Amino acid sequence: MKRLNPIQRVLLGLILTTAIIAVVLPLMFFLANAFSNSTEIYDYPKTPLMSFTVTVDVSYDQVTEEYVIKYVDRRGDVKNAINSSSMLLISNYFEQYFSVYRTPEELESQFEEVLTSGETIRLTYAKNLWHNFKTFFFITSKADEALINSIVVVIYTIIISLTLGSMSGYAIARYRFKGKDQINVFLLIVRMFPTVGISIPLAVILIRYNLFDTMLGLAILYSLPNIALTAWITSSIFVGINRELEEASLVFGGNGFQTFMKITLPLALPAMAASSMYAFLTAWNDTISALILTNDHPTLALAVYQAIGDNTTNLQYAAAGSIILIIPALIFTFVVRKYVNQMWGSVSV
Amino acid sequence: MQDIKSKKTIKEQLKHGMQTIINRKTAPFWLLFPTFLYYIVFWLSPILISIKEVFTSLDGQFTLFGNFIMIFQENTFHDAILNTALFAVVSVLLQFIIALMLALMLSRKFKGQKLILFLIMIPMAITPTAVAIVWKTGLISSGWINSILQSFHLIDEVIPFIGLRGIDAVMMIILIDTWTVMPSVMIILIAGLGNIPEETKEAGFIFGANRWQVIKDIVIPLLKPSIITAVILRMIAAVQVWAIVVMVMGFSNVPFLVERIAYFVGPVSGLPYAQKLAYTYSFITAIIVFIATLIYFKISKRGTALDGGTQK
Amino acid sequence: MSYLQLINLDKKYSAKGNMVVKSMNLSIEQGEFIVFLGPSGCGKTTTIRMISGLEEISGGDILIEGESVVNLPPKERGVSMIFQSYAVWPHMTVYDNIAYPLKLKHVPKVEIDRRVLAAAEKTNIKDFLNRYPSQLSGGQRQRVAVSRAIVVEPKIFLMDEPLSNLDSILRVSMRSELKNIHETLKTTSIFVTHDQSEAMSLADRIVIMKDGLIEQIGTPKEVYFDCQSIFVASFIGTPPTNFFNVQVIKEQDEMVLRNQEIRYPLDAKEQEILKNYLDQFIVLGIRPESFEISSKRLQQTIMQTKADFIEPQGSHVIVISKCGEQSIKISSPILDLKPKSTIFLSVKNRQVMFFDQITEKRIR
Repeated sequence: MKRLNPIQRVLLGLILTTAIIAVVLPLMFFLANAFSNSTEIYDYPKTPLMSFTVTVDVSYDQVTEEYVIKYVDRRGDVKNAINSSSMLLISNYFEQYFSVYRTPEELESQFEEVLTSGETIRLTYAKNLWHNFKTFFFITSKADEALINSIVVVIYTIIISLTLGSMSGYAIARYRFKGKDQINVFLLIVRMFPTVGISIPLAVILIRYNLFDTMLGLAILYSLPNIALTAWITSSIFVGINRELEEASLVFGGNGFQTFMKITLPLALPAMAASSMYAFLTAWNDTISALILTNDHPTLALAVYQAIGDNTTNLQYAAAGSIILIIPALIFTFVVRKYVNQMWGSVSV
Repeated sequence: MQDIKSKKTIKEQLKHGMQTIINRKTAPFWLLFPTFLYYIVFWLSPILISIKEVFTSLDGQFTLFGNFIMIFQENTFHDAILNTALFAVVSVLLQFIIALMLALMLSRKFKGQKLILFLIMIPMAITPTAVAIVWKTGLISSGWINSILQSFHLIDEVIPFIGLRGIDAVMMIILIDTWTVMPSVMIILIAGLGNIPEETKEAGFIFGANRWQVIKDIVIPLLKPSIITAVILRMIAAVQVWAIVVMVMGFSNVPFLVERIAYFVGPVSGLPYAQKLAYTYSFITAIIVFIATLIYFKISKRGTALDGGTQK
Repeated sequence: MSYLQLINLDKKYSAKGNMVVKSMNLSIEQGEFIVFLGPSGCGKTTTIRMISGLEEISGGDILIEGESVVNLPPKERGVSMIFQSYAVWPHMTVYDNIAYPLKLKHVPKVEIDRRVLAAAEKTNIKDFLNRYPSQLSGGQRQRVAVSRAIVVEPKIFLMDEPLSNLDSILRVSMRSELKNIHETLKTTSIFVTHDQSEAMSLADRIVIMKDGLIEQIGTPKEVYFDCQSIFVASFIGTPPTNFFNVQVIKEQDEMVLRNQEIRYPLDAKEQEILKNYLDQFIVLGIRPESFEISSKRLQQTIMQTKADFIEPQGSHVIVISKCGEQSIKISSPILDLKPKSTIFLSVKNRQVMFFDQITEKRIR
């Protein structure tokens, strides 16, 4: 029964391999793109492998008294790059088009031999991998602020969601009271409700309270579904935490608040971790609500979105910017989830 | 001495008073109150405002259908609804089939299972904005998709993916969305598969079923709750697709419901009727999602009767 | 020719893993009710799963009616199984559960109906045919599993601890029902359990397993009175056998078994059995009910001790005493015995067993 005959095994392997290629290949191209310099971006056909170096042919034209720099692409084809007698111009060109950082003096000394020999030398330089990131922050207005804004809004969202959410979750788990079912239904509705439907009118309310275009205002919106989600996650964990553990604490002299802080809360840590993961992802990834609720203070996701605009050229900077977006999201999705799973068994959320 | 004595009793009185108000019976309400307040201010009032806006015309008069008529006449509305509907149905179907197939393959333990699972799940962890860029780099005329196709001599000329319109464009968006989202459907199905006890399947093998029959007659029926959850959740999310569309195709070229909202609060927000249209589109989207949520409720409640109960 | 034969059956889970079943050899006749008995992890469930085809074998062979089945999938082996969790399909009615195996065989509908009703009749669940498993109790679900197993008219019934999840009263009644079904259908059956009283009451022969090896195969009577090893003697019977380390020595002209508390003179037959063990230590096994208690020292007394605790069991009592440092249990008809009083123990009918200290096997 557990045996797979050879045909089935091959088929399985084929399908899985296709799936993996389908996932990995675009990402590899994307990464290659994100680290491409302005010259490589025009290479065609494209390769999925990042290149870490730039190769140039350098010669000297005695007639025009200019250095002739040609770019050697991966296939070995040689393309014109720049002809100039000014080392400064050449150095700037290198930086802008090759992502290679060399001072004019360095270049001059490296090119010395072509001056006299009349030969062409082939030099290879290491690419500066941070170039695209720096340029992204440079050309995208407010990108560095946006990064900080995203971090701030995430923190606000987590605080609001976890506080209100766990309080509600605790109430639902521990007490029996009238209207409990209705509250559960309400929370479910709020969780599924498209926040896009509220974002526009929420802007009106935020303006009223002077919260428009602030990270707190955004966090208020992001928290709406997350409070409900946190309440749901934490209530199921609180139900699991044996009441008698809490009662023991009360018997031994703690009051309700101390009990909650010292006993219930630590045991509920996995639920808090899971909830903050979802709160993080909501706040970090959203673009539409940020678009609606901010003007001059975008989040990083919004900034990257705006950087793309209608561009089809020079995508490498936006690509680099989105790497900054991706990394925390990846970490949270996998690392935190693994941690939560370890402490909690399989998260059914 | 007298003063200190009376101060003490006031403190005690306060404490006593507090304990009457905050006790076992009322504690839950105190805990829920802040949340309640929060939702009234930040959820209910926006909804009320939105409803008011939708039923008020540009010059402030009450109108039941006025804004809806305006939106029907808006020349991208028709396409937006069609595209969104087509997208929702086809993408969910495609994602479900692929996710089910992969979930069945990946639910048994084998070497490298964890690694493969991790790799396939990566797209779902990437911010949608970033996903758009990942694919944009591929879809432009000089992008890597055309590059691959031409290198393998599958096409003679580059395909202008960005320039696609209509159904072709929707299909392309569906493929990108599937790439991103299929793993999250797969996870729900894998979790559901994990809940089926091994012996339930083994009984199938003992009593005469082959692998395909076990899947068809035993696994899938037992997977129904997970399938329903996954499908409805995906539909709700699919109806709200927009970022990929805008970033890859640009505004207004391939209209979708939420893409229209973004359009009217974004580039053209200055126009007088832009806000009204945005409100009305939001309203319509919200209603659609709300109905889908209700359907989900109904079905998930019915599904639990067939839960079968645990065997232990 | 035996009906089911296991030849040198091996099982290990990974190339470097330890052997879960080691070179097992077993021959079962048609119609026998065999019980695999042993503690958790002894390999009994693994063996039954290998017979069913749910588990691959690592070495050896399995023959059913003389033909090797190791390359056949479960459904082609002619076996039927009742799982510990019953594995009744929750999304099908009871009727469909029982009918499903027949449907797969393309049995005509009329025939299915007849056989399902007949099977349901045998387990008394005819009234539930239209219900879903979630609407049934544990015991009822178990009967559905039994019906399903018998409706296919298999060559061999395999039962993997089917009664473990039932409460004790239900367990005992289901035991006799299963026995009845076996008597009626006469199907060869293999029943796995860790409960020795269950094994004793159901089996034609018991296969006692430990750590992947067979300790003893025998009828209930054989494994009770004629234990082949210390393990079997300690596993079968409750309260368990008492074991004593004694030395075989010659006192004057007598051969006796001796330690600080015990003096057991050997008769001729016993001397013959132990003739190679002079001056060595052996393990003496005495079942609780083999002791006889008296308030005075008698000629046949072998040990003196105190009745530390007396536990009434209804028809008899269990007396817990000490023999040196170890605690022993004696099963006795009701006596007028005061706690902590001194008692003298002798052995009835020479009901003792001798075991080699090192191999732990019975000395014959």
